[in-house]
Amino acid sequence: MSTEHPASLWDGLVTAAVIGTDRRSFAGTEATGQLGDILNGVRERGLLATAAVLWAYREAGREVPATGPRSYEAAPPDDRALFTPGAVRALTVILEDRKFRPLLDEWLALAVQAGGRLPGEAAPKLLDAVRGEQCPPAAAAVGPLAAWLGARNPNWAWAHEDAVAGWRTEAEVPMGLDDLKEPWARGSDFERLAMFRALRAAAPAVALELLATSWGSEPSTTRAAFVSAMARGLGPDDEGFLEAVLDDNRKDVRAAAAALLTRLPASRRAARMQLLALPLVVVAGRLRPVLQVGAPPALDDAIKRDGVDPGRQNRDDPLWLTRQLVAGTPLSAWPKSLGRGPRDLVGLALAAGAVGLLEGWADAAEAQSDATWARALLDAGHGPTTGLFASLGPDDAEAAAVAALEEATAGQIGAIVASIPAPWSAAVTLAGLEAMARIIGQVDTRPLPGFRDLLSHLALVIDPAESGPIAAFISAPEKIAEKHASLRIYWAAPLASFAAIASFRSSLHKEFQ
Amino acid sequence: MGRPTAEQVKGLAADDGSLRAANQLAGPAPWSELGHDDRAAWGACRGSAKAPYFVVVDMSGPAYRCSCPSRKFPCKHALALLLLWSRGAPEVVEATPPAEAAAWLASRAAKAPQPGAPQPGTADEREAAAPSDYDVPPDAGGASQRQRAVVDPQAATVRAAQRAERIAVGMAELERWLSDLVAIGLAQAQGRPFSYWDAMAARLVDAQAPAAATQVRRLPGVVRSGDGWPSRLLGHISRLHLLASGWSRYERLPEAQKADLRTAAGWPWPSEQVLAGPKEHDRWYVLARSETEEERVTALRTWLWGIETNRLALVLDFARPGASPAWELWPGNVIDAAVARFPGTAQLRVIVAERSGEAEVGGAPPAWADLGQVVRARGEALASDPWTERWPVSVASVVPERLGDNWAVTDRDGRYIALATDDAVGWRLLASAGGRPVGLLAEWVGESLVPLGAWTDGGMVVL
Repeated sequence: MSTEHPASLWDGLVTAAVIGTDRRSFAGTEATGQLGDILNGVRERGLLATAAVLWAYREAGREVPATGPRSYEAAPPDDRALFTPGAVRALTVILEDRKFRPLLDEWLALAVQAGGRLPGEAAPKLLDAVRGEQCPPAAAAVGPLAAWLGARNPNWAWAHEDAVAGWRTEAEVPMGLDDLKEPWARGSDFERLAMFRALRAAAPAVALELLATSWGSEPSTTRAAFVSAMARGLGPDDEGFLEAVLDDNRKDVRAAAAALLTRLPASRRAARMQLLALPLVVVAGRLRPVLQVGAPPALDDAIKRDGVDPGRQNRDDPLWLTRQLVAGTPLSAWPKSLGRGPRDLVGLALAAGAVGLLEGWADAAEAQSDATWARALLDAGHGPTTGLFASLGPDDAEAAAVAALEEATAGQIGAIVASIPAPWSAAVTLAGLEAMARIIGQVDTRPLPGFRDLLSHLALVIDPAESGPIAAFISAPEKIAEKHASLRIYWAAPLASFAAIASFRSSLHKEFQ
Repeated sequence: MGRPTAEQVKGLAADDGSLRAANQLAGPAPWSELGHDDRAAWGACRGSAKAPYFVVVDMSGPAYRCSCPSRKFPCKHALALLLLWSRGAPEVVEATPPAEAAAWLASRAAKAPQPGAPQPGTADEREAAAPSDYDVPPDAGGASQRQRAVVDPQAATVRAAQRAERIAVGMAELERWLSDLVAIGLAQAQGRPFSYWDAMAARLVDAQAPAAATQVRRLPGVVRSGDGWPSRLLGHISRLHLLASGWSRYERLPEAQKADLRTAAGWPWPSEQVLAGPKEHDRWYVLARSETEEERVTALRTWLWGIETNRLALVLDFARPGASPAWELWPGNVIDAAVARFPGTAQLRVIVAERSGEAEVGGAPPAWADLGQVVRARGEALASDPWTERWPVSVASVVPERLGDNWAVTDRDGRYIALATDDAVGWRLLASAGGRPVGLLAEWVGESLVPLGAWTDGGMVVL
C-alpha cells in the first residue's frame, strides 16, 4: 500500500497507458483514504475509468500555493487626467486605418497641447507605431508609463533611454561641462544622441563641446545624426566645427555639415561659394538691362569638398551646379555686386529665363530665412515652396499664401497647396477651398491626375473649425452634376475621402477641447 | 440601441479579415443613401458589381441584410456601415428607412419572438443550438428538423428516444475504441494517421453526437502538443471514456446528470424547453466576452455574474443570422434580466428570457478576492460536471507580469498563474496595469487562463 501523492499516482497511470494494457495488464491504482476507496471501486472498470476519477480529483482539487506578498516596480504615478474616450478611439482609428494614418502627427500635437494622459492599454500600439520625431510627443502622451514599458520591451527602449537622458539633461544643465562628461562617456549611442538633442535646445555651445570630446570615436552611423541635430540652436559658433566636418570620410556626414553651413552666411564655405558664384552673373545695358549667367566652373576637389555634387548621373549639369553655388552664397552679396535690389534682380532673372539662378536664390532665401528675397521671388510668381513661405513672417506668409491661392490655375494648385505650411489658418483655409471650388467649376472634366491626393492633402491641412465653408465645398460635385451628370461619379469618391478626413479632424479637435 | 461604439462593431466582426475589409470601405466614398433611425442603419455601397449593394443593419438583433454574395456574416458592407456610423460620420443622417429596408425591418419585427412566451409554431431547435462547454456549431441534424414547423408532442417523444438510442450506440463504439487505444498503448497513437481519429469522429457525427465528435477530432492535436502529451491525452480520453460509459447507464441516471451527458454529447436543447423552465431574475454584470472559430461559425461567449445571487451565467451565441450578441452585453455593463438556465448540474449556460430597462455602465466587476478562490470555484464546477471546459474568471487584484517570454498574473498573496495569450494582448494588459494591481477578467480554457479584460482606474478594458 503506497500513500503516494495524486501527482505521482497520475504519472504512474500515464506510464501504464503509454505502454498499453495488452503488454502489461492494469492492476489498479493504490491509494489511501477516501481516494483509495473510490479508486478501488473503479478498478474493475479499467485504466480509463481510474484515470477519469484521478483526473477529476486532481483538477477539482487543484491548489495554487501562496508564496507570500511580493513587491513590484510599478510605473511612477501619473496624475494627469485621461484623454476622453473619443480621443482614444480616434487614435485607434488613426493607427488602424491607413486613410487616417497621416493624422497621427496632428493627434500627437493635440495630445501634447491638451496635456492629458493616454490610458495604459492604448500605449503599446502607439509606441509601436511612432517613428523619429513622433517619439517624444508619444512618450509625453503615455507619460511615465512609457519609460516603464521601455525598460521591459526592447522595441520601446527609446522611450526608456529618452526619459533617462531627458531627466539627466534637465537636472544637469545648470552644472558645468565637467559634470556632463561622465554621463556622456557612459551613455549608449542612443542616450548620447538624446542628450545632445536636449542640450542643443538649452545650451548649444555646451552640447558642441561635449560632442567634441567624443567626436573622434563616434561611430560613422551616428555622426550624421549628430551633425543634423545641430540644426537646433545653430549659430556662428558652430561654424568652426562644421567646417572641419567637411573633411569627414563619410559622404552623408559631409552633406549634413554642408547643408547646415548654407544657413550660416558668414561661414568660410559661404565666402568660397560667393567667390565662385558672383562672377557668373552680369547685368549689361543701362536703359534696357539684360541679365546673363555664365557657365559655372568645372568641379574640382575643392568645390566637391564643400558638398557641391555633379548632379544626377554625374553629368555636371550647369543649371544644377549654378543652383548649388548660388544657394551657398550670402544673398546680401548680390545687390552689392550687381547694384540692384532683390526685386529688380528677380525680374531680370525671370526675363532671362535664368532657372538655375532663380532656384539657387530660392534655396538661399529658405536657408538664410530671408523674407525680402522670399517675398520678391513669390511676388514674381516663382513656384512657391514650404521654405519660402516659412521665410516670411507669419502675417506675410498668410498674405502670400492667400494671394498664391487666389491666382492659382489648375496646373499650379497642387504645388501651391503642398507648399503652404500646415496647419492652415482660417483665412488660408477659406482661400484654399475657394480656389479648389473655382478650379473644379472650371475644369468641367474628370478630376485631373493627382486631384485625389491633392484633395486628401487639403483635408489634412485646412482648419477643421471652418465647418460651413467645408460643407459648402463638399457639395461642389452637385454643381458639376447639374451640367454633366456623367461626371458626378468621378468626383464623388475624391470629395468623399476629403469629407471623411475633414469631418474626422473636426471631431478630433473637439475631443481635445 | 442606437449608435454603436467602434469597439462594439469590432466585436461583431467574424474575423480580422472582414474587419480589415470593412475598414477599407468605412469612408463615405463608396456610399450613398446612408441613413439611420432609432432601430436600424442602412446604405448603398458601391462594390465590384454594377449595382451597389444595399445593406441594412437592425440594431435590435443586431441582424444584417445585404445584397452582396458574401458568405461572411456580418459581411464587410454591414461592418463598414456600422464603423462609419460609430465614427459619427455626418453622411449617416437620421431618416426614415427606404422601402427596401422598411420591408425587411417590418418582417423581422413580425417574426421576433415574444420574450418569455415561446411560440408553439416555431421550429423546435431554433437558436439554442450548441451545448455550453463542448462547443459545436448548430448540429447537422438540426437543419432538417428545423423544417418541421409544427411540433407533434408524441412524435417529439419518439424522436427523442430514437436519438438517445442512436447516441448510445455511437458511445458504445467510442468506449470500445478508447479501450483499444489504451490496450495497444498511447505510444502507438503518435504514428496514427489522421484518418484513424477522423473515422471515429465521423461515426459519432452519424450517431448524432457532434460535440463528442469534436472532442475526438481534437485528439490528434493533443498528440502533437509537445512535451507531456501523454498526460494531456490521457486526461482527454479518460473524460471521453466517462462520457461514453455514462451513456450506457443514461436511462438510469438522475435528470441533471442526464442533461450533462446530453450536452457533452452535443444533443442541443430546444430553446422553448429552456425558456419553459424557471427564470432567474438578477442584475447581471457582463464580465467578459470570448470568441472562437468553430467549424463554419463563430461562437461568442458572454460571461455574466449575478450581482444579487453571485451566480455565474454564460450566454452563447453563434454569428449567424439573428443570433449575434446584443449590444448591451458589453463588458462592464449591468443588465436587469431574467435568464433561463439550460439543464445540467453546473448549469452555466443560459438564455436571456426577459430584459427590463436599458443597460447601465457598472462599476468594478464582482470578483473573487484571490486566485485561490478562483481555482476552488472552478474545482467545484469540475467536480459536478467534469466536461466543464470553460470557466469564467474575475479576480479582484492581481499584478500582470512578463516572465521571460511568458505572461502571468500574481495575486496579493503571491499566488501565481500563467496566462495563455499572444504578445499584443499581453502588452496591453501589462500597460493597463503598469505594475499595479488590476482586476482581471479571463476565461479558463482547458489548462490555460486566457485574459479577456482588465478593470483599471480608467474603467473596463477589453483586451
